[in-house]
Amino acid sequence: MKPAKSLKKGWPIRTWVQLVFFAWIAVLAVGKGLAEAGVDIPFLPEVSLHAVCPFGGVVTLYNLATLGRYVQKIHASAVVLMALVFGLAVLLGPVFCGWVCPLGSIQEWIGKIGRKLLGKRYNRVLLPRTDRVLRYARYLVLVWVVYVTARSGSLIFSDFDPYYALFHFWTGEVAPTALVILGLTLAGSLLTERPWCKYACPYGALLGLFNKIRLFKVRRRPASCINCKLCDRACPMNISVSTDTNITDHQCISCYACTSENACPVPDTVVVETRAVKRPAESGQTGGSL
Amino acid sequence: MRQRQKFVPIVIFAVLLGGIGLAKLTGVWATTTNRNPARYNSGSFAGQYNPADIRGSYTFADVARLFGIDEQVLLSAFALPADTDTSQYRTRDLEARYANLDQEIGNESVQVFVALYKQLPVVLDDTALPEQAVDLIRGANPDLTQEQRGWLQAHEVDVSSVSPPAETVSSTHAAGEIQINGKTTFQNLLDAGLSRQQIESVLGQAMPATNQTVKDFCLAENLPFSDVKNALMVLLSP
Repeated sequence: MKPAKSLKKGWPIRTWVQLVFFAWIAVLAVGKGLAEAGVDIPFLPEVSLHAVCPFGGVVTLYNLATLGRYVQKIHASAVVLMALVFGLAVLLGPVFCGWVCPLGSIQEWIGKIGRKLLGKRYNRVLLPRTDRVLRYARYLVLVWVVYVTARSGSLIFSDFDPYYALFHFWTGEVAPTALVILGLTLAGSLLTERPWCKYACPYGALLGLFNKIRLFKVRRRPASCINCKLCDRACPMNISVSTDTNITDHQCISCYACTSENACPVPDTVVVETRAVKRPAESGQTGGSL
Repeated sequence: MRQRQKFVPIVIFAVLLGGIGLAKLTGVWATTTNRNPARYNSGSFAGQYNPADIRGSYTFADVARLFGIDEQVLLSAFALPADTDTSQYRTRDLEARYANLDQEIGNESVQVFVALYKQLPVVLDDTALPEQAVDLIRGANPDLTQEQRGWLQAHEVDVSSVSPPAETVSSTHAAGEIQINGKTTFQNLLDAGLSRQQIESVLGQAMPATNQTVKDFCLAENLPFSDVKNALMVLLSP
């Protein structure tokens, strides 16, 4: 077995990508606010966050199909982005969650403080069984959001949306419920990794389903695996990578943290590729479907 | 085939930027509301924009562009200063400007003005027009019917005594109070406390899907939106 690779210095490339998208959305939100206040910033498009949120494309589909109109505040751009993010998810899974979504990013960054405060207890605060059941709550949220939007033709979810609240908290336009949910999400990030993504995000729930069909899946090769479980510990979503071969867990955010490019010390053992890894017929390393 | 981490950003940016670029090239990309009203779908005006679908969010510049009316004509029709920024002044801003009048001058007034000025079909409702607008219509439309002439006479308003605020002001309303506008859906009305029976009594027919806007329904069923709106507001008032 090859020795463990040395730790890389500096921020990983994913953090840079997250920063770019976070900054871009923040600039758009501030620019829109300034434009509405009559301050014109050259070269800055006056775009509302609803226009660049791909989840808006999802919730407007029913209205579009039945009435030929978008839900209030949603525009064609949201539907285009929805299609593009679905395309990405078919290829690589929910990379939108792991690399793009600013709300996911800020939870992750706050989580670094929580990790320092709680040490090994961080991201393991709930009983496994409770945690496992709660992971499906986001599908209830998804069904509820789609239903109330279809019924009302209004963007009701914006009154609860922590993403909208994050970039508009200073405007006075944000419903108190959304501010409370944002506060709970950020505070919860000190205890566990990405609490909103794990338990409540309706868009993450939908994108998570693509883990079942994505072309490039996370694969673990039992033949070279040394069963050190570093992949499990690295996974922000608490997926037990070390007990499966082809990772199709609906919670995977395609962050690459578990792979041999990051946590896994053995080269070419945890990889993202199209070719399926055959599960050993008799191996103590194999686990149930995640 | 393997996908290494360093190529993920390339794929993300290629798909997102490439897709957005393609959507822009094909005219699909839009980050703001499409400011094109519905068109007449039958009769000799089929295919032309229907002024009844002018929304309160349309600016005077939008209305001028869509219906081929000189911006200065629109400004003078509604007694607005000639240097008004038509790209910022929305038709619903008229409501705040003329809030002190007994009759309402607002978006519906613009709809009626445009229809009569351009000799387009119109359902005359309970809105009002400044005297200047009525004079312009009489000058531009020699084929006014007797009914239209009578309506204009009954609904023209002297706005010379109005001293409007210097800046554009949108009307504000008490928290929790529903204001019916072009975006109000039937579900919004139900949520505000109206029953299905009450809404249907105003419509005179069955209520459509709850996600439909009242305005779209009125347009499709040829009902005067302002009349429906006023009747619903009466039901909603405490």
